Amino acid sequence: MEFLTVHGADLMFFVFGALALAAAVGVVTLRNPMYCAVALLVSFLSIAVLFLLRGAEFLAVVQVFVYGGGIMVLFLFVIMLINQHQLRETRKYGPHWWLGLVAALVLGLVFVRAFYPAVFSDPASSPPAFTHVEGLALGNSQAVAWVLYRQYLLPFEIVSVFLLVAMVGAVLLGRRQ
Amino acid sequence: MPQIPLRDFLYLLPEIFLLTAGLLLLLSSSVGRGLGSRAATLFSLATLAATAVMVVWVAQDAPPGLLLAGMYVLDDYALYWKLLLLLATGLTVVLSCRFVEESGYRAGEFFSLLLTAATGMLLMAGGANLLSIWLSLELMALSSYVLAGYFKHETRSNEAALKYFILGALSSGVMLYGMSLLYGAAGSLGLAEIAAALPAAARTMPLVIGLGWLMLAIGLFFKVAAVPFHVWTPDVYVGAPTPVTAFLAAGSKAASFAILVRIFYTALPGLALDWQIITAAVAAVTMIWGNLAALTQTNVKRMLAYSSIAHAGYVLMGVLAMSDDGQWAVLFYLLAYVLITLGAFGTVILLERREYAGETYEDYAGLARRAPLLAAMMLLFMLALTGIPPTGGFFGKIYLFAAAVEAGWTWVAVIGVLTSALSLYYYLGIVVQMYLKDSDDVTPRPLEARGLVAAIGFCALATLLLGLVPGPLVELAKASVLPLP
Repeated sequence: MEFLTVHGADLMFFVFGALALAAAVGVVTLRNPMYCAVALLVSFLSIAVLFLLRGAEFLAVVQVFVYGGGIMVLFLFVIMLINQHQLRETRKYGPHWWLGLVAALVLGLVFVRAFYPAVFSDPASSPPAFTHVEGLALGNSQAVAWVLYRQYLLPFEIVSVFLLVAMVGAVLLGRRQ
Repeated sequence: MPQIPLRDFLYLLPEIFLLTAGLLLLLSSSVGRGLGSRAATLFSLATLAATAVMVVWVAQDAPPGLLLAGMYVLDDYALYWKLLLLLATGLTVVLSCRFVEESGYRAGEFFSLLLTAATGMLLMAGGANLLSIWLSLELMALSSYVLAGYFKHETRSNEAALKYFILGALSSGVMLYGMSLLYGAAGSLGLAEIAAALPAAARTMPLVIGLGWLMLAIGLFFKVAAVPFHVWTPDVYVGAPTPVTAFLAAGSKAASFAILVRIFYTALPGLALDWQIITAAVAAVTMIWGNLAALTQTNVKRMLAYSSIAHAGYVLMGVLAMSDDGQWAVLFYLLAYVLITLGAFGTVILLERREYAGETYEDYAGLARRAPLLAAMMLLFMLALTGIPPTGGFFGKIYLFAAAVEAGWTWVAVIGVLTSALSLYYYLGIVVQMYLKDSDDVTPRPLEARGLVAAIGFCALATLLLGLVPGPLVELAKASVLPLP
């Protein structure tokens, strides 16, 4: 019991980290697009738990709402609109899939090598910036809002224009002539 | 983080104005039949001109240093690029007029996307933070993806849009990943802050920083279409409507170079030796492969696509010099390049009859007799692209080569000179067709689209002027360089 209270967070991290990875592999390897979507959902939710473990509640909730909710519904719509039977007869991977696998593994190793000393030995990697606003412990949502609407106001505005253009573009291209 | 003073937003006036006008144009096309193509062209041109005035006006009043919590900067460098990019967009608007008229699409929608792309380009030029730079780049790119697919009933245009979108998204993802690594290492996304934090961070986590800047650089090389990240270029340039191709080859490329130079010079000066080697290698293969591939093309748009790849290599030569001379050479060259490219594509547009016809070399046969003025201007553009005096292309290349040699990158400059000589062959291919070949079609071509001819004439005149009196622009470019650390 004591082990759990001391190492509970670490344990959760490894369990949900592994789950996120396994589900991501499932997204790429599963045949039925509906299973892929469910695997993607599992991956999204596991990542939300990882955010929660780091004290980023706001991000965790947004992850569930936006990715687990909105984006998932979008994917499911597309899957239901396309003809699944036709999909079964097409090849799952291109002819050079092993090349991609090797590249992904090598890149993964390089990343592990790059991050290993940087992350695990850095005590400052959990700053109170997640919850503190000008020295006051207010909470993650307030901290995010403080940064988003002050420091990152210009990028925030550019994103809103960007989304508008995306919408206009989708209508222009999707509309019948 | 203190609150952003409201005053800072006033400095964004040109961008806000441009965006608002673009959205108004979009709204107007939902009312009845919308604006006619001529009215929309004039509206867009007036908007761009007014924006240019505001850009100059705001820049005169701008405080030194960063604005909007370190996201934006109004220096001379940004001013130069903004005017250059507005000019490129304005010329593109004129080049698009006939296409929009003939294609039967609502003019307002097409031009509004050009204006949002221009907004993105202006924000790119002034970005002082990796996040705002990346988002502005995406704003420009997203508008371009839609523009590239504007021929909805043409398979090639669909293919162009889809390829551009998927590969563009991939490269943006790579770039963003690189930025996140730099953020992790430096603790900030501000260009100046990254430069300050890098030396210390490079000792503790060299691999993270190495991966970070490399992925960022790969994304940037992709956007300027440098080999080996150029694979999307030929198909997209050929498939997209030609005015859009001109916009991608001129405006989009110039804007990407604006952020490439700023990021390399402001955020990564401490890693100069590393990125200079990579950039030198990329510049060398870009010049070699771009020119070699252009040799074998039979489609003029495809040839110009490879030519634009090769020119990215020449510009990279100025970038890797990491000196004031290299910088103003890049600024000078890109203005000349934008004018020449838009002029050359303008000629292609004028010769296109419907959609894709009129794109092979043979379509240019006997042009000198049918339309002597047009042929003469095309001759000028081809000479300028090769880098032959008296054109702006000549001085542009000389300055780039000189900057590279001065900085000790002689071997890259030698490759540049040799490949320039090689490029004469395929540029002159068109000239030979125009002046020495005959065609069955001997009816003189009336230059019916007056606006289009005027735009081509403007480009030709400016190209010639830059070749005869480059002095004033050189001074302007010299005054617009970023301070080197």
